[in-house]
Order: sequence, then C-alpha cells, then structure tokens
Amino acid sequence: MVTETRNNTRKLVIMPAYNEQDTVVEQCREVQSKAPGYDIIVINDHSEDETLARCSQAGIRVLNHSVNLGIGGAMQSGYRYAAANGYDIAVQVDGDGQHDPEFLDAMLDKLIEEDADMVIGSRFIEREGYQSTTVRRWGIRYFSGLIRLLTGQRVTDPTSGYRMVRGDLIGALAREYPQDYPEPESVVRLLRQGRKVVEVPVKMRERGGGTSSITAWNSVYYIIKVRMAIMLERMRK
Amino acid sequence: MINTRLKIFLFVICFLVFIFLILKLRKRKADIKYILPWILLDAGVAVITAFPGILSYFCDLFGIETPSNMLFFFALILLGMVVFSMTLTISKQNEQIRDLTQRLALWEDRQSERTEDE
Repeated sequence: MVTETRNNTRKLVIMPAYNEQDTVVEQCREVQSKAPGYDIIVINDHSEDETLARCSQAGIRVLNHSVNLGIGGAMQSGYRYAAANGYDIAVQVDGDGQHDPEFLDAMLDKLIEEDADMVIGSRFIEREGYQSTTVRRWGIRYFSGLIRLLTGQRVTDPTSGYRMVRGDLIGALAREYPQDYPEPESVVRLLRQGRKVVEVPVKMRERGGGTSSITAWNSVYYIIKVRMAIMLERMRK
Repeated sequence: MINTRLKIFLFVICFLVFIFLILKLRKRKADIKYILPWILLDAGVAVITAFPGILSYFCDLFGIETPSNMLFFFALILLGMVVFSMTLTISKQNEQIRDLTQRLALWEDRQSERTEDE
C-alpha cells in the first residue's frame, strides 16, 4: 500500500541555492538518478555567481529571485510554487550538496507510515555522517531542549533543512513561512498548531561549496533571534 | 537669555534646513508624507528661538530644572518615535518586497513555460 501511495503522488524537490554554482547541477543530477519520481525546482536567491546560467544550461527549472531574500524567502517561494502546481509532497534539498537524496525514499515512507505532516532528516539519531562542529552541536542541543520544554516533543535536529512536508501544509507554508534562520522556529510553530512532526535518521555530508549562512559573527545573533522566535511562537494565539 | 548672535545663528540653521527639505521635495527625493514632520520640527525650533520664554514655561510645567535638559529629553523621545516608525515601515516593506519578488519569480516561470509550449 505504501508503494501505491508513493507512486501516485506528485513530488517536488525544492532546492534553495545562493552562490552554489559548483554543486547545484551535480546535486540535481543526483536527485534525478537516486529519486527519479521527483520533479526539481531550484530557487536561485539572486546568486552573484553562475548558479542561474549553469542550471539553465543543464535544463533545470529555476525560480529566479530578482533580489536576495534569504533562505526563508527562498523556501517560501518553493512552497508557493508547489502549491500553485498542485504537488502533494514537497521536500527541501539544499543546493550545496549536504543533503544526500538517497534518503528521500526513507523520508517518504516515514511520512506515509506515521501519517505525519512533516519529516525531518536528522543527523543525530544514528550519529552517522557529518556531525557539524562542536559549537554548533551545542547550539542544536540547546534548541532541541528548548523545544522539548515548550512542546513536550523530542526533535533531535531542529536546525536541519532536510525536511519533507505534505498536503495542506504546503499551502500553509506558502502563505506564511518564518524568515531569517527559519528552521527551529517553523518546527515549534507546526508543533504548536498540532501538526505531526517526525524524524528519520540521515547522513549529511560536508558542504561541497559555498558558505554557510551562519557565520561566526552571526551565531550570537542566531541564538538570540531563534530563542526569541521560539518564545514568541509559544505566546501566540 | 539667548544672546542675539546665537539667535541669528539658529535662525540661519533653521532656514538652511528648511531650504534643504524643500529642495528634496522639489527633486522628488522624498514624499511630503515623510518630509512634513521634519518641516514641523524645523518650524518648532524657529519658534522657540524667537520666543525662548516658551521653553521656560514648559520647564516649570514639567518640573525640569534647566531648558537644555528638557530639550534633550524631548528631542530623544521625538527621535525615538521617528526611528521606531521607520522600523515598522522597514518591516512592512521587507514583507512587500518579499511577496513581490516571489510573485515575479513565479510569473517569469509561467511565462517561460508558455513560450516553450508555443
């Protein structure tokens, strides 16, 4: 039954890319070979390099931002595209090569089996693959604890961008998506709305090119902003 | 209270600021909506320069010891209000820019699909 549902759904890979010219095409090819049932839309968030040109040359469909919006705005574009084109499943796969498309099947199975709204690919369940830096792991553990405290649910990798959603949640995220380091915040929002969020173990790779949106200078701001956003989520409604 | 030399100096500054604001308006570098508060502020400073007694009156009213303290205090509040209203404006405009950028991206995608079909 799981296989049946799997084949009848329209599935979309949303690939946000900002200055990822060296990895984005390769990453798309990998999705096409490892997960042939998925359509791909690259969101070019006003890259200053050849990201757009290389995608177009390779025949990859691109949504092109005429100004840089950041990851939140890029993902929202992807969800808007998914909603407008009637997709049932949408999954974020970053353009920098961190997310191995090999795990898409496992994520989809979990989504259907558990009848969940969102599946997050977590680095920290089986603790395999790239585990990020020590300082970042502390930060992630901190958010994880905070989310558990506020929602009572265990989310081991709330900062993971590797996440799959389905159904009406696509439309909801298209209408409203947190901006500025949106991952932990959106997890809390969904949990507070009574959505079901589950995790599957994945192995992540070190980024193949480009730079993380979270630099050393920004990390203090990151912690404070996300913490405030999470507390605000708690106070809403 | 204020000597004549200072008075003239302040009037000249007020006048120059006024000219500057009007020029910005003429060149359409700023909306009347945003320039108007600055013109009012400029006029206010001119009025106070002409009649410094106003300041002393309000000082007594609020129980503030010296006029300069009161000026600083109210200037701070005023500037705070201006900057905060800008924070609100920027937040709103960010949201509008985001929506427009996304709409444009989706529209361009549909256009290119249409030309491919033809």
